[in-house]
Amino acid sequence: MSSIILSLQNVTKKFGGLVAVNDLSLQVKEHSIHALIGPNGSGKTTTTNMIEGVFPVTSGKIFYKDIELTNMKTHQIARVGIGRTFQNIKLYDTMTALENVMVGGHQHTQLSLLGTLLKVREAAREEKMLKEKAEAMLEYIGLIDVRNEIVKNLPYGKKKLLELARALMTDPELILLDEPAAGLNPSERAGFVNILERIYNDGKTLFLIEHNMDVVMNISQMITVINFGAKIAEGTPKEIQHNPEVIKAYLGDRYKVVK
Amino acid sequence: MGAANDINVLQFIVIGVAMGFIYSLVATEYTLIYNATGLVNFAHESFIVLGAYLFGGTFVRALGLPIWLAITLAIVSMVLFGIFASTIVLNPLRNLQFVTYAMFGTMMLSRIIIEACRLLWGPLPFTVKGFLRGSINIGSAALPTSYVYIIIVSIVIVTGLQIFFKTTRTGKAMICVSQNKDAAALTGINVTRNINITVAMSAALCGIIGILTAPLFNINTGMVASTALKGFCAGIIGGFGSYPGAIVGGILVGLLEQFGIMFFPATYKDVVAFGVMIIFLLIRPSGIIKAKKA
Amino acid sequence: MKKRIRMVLIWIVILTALIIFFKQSNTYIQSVINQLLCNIILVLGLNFITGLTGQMNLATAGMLALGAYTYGILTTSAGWNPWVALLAMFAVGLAVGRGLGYPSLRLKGFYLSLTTIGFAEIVRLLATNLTDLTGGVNGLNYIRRLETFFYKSEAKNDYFMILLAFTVLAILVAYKIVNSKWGRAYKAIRDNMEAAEASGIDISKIKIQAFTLSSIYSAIAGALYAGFNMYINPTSFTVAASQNYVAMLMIGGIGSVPGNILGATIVTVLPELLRKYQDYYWILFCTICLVMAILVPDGIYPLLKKTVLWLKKKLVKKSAAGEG
Repeated sequence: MSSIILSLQNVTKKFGGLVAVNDLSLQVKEHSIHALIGPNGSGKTTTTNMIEGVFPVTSGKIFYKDIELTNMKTHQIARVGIGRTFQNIKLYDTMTALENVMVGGHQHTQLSLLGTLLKVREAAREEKMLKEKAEAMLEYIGLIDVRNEIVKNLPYGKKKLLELARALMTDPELILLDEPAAGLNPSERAGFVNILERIYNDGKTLFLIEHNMDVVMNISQMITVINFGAKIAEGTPKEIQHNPEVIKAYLGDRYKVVK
Repeated sequence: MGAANDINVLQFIVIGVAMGFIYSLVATEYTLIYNATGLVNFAHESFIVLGAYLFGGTFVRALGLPIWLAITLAIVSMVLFGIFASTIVLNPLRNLQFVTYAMFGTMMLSRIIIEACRLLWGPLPFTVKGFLRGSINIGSAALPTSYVYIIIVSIVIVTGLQIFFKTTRTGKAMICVSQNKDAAALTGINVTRNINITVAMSAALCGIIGILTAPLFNINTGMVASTALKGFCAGIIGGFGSYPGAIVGGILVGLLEQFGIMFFPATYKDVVAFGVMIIFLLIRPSGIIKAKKA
Repeated sequence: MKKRIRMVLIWIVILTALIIFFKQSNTYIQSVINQLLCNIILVLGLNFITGLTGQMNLATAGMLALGAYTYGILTTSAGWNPWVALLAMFAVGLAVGRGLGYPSLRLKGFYLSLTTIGFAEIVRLLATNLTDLTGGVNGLNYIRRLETFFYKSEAKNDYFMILLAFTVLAILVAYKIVNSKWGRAYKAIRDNMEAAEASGIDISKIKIQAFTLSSIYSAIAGALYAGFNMYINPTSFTVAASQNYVAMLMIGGIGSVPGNILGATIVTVLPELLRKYQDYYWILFCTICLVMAILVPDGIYPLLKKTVLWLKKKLVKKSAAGEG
């Protein structure tokens, strides 16, 4: 039995009178690919934001391994071992690809401000190691040739990959991916999925929020379906595809599964 | 004894409310631009000064026009100036990458306008003779004319603005633009033109503020330096981005200032507005009346 | 190693040239140069919080005033040794950095800039009105300068060397910080705060750090400025002055140390060079600034770098074509 790496226990999020997430419980197994799907507005991004500490939880608990994440600060959660990519790309537009990735590695550096100024040799060494690690990451993702390009000028597909590289710099064991396939054309999608598989094979756990059924059905091992903030189904891709509740949620009452 | 005190209290309140309305008008004019463009118009002080100079310097003193004509022409000039400034400066600025760039741009615009005033009308302060001078007798109290007019004009403007937003097409379009530009554009509103109109209105309002404050401060380049800053404070206290908030905040600051004079030396009067603003920023940054934005 | 030696040599050449130029200039030019050095330190400090971290700070004049007056009062009324008073500037910088840093965590953009204006105005009002402590409108006189063993600075000449030493130190420290992970962290906060948080950067800590650096630089510049004329008064520390420093930052090129130096130089020296056009100088200068803010908001230095790169490319193309 592999252990649970991420656990949401009866998590609820209310915005005033609106219940965005309703008593959601789910468990992500270590070294797995788990997807969270649901129609638009079902509460997927709100859930991710709560895991990442962007929104406080109204009630319930979130655990990463045996560390309670509920109400921890975002940057603390990032340091615990969780990486994240965003639905709308959030990169540092004025810096190069390499610098963007290097920022991801900051939390593993040791020197304080004073240290950087006074311990010249150590600071140079630290910087060099950070740079090498970032370059290795860019190589791994396949973006090494654009490392000195200002991010603003990169095409959309490359930006998505770059976000992934930056998230990997934090040496996470769990990566939250918010609609990773959004806006990519089929060949870009295939490339992205390849990289996700490679990351998975290197031992990471992936938690995907995704709309695109190709990606979800192809790559996930476990799927949780939510609608109106509550879980309506959970299972393997095969199980989900034939689940009448899921079909109703996506297609409405007028469609029935014809066996 | 009792009667004299009553008169003092009345005068005290009138001054507080009048100055409060000035701050409210200032808060309203920059809120117009902020709601439409997301920019804070650091040049608003210079717009007010320009309005005062146009009115007093050109139309009254240089051209010798009757007051009512001078006021009308000054406001019209400010409308044209507003459209010009919006097209050349504010619209380009709002599309820049960082908000610091736009702030810097409006700061420079402010300097340019004030320097232009100094060059065009000379560095010496002047007044408009007989304009809103003296006092009006209400009952047994003699209230300075300018303050009474400020209160009356402000109430008219503020009410007119609300009616404008609620009933006219342009006014409603402005509310759309302030809440969601993309949606506004999709429903056929020419966003850029709408912004130009908003800035023109703001400029006209600044002109009116300049005309109203001319008898209080005399016309010179620094006449509304602290007033403009306190107008910013008033807007934040009342609720940044909200028109009712602008009024509430302004009057509150105006009255608190008058109270402050009773307890602190007059030189610290300007600190009152800042002090209250900082308290609000720390406790309730959205202000007294939260602005309604989509 | 070669690059290092080349940099050091360039520094030596520039500094020697500057010193020689200074020694043979008249008093007027010397005071402009001294003012320039103070301004460079100020702009380098402002760069941390406004250029890199993107938080508009209009309190620079107020921070400068706080440094200048604290140093002035300590060396006159309290009779402290100027060097010890200088150390106190670090304390002032730390206090102001925290004082303005914490509000900056909760306030953004306009709210923050208004708070910084409020801070600066309150400092100025206190300086004007606490006459017993600060000399009020008459200012603070007989401020002692920093002195060393080899120079007893009576003539303004000798103060220049001390100013120069501090400026060089400020430049080196700023350069190191800007081009390190800290510079990147500041820029990350400016470019995308949410993403920076998700990368593990403690936004609160870094913002306060940037403010503190800025304040320390300003406080030290204040102490140096106070010793400059050995006299200060409140009229030098207005909001307009703060805007000038922002202009130096924006014109020169936000984010880079050479850009900061360039900006400080242009804004300080140009009005002096064009003295005879004094009446029209400011309106022309501000118009150019405004045009630049719209068209070239990053400043002159990045523009220069792009031009040099473009020229290099053209030269390479030409020589390649020539050999073809």
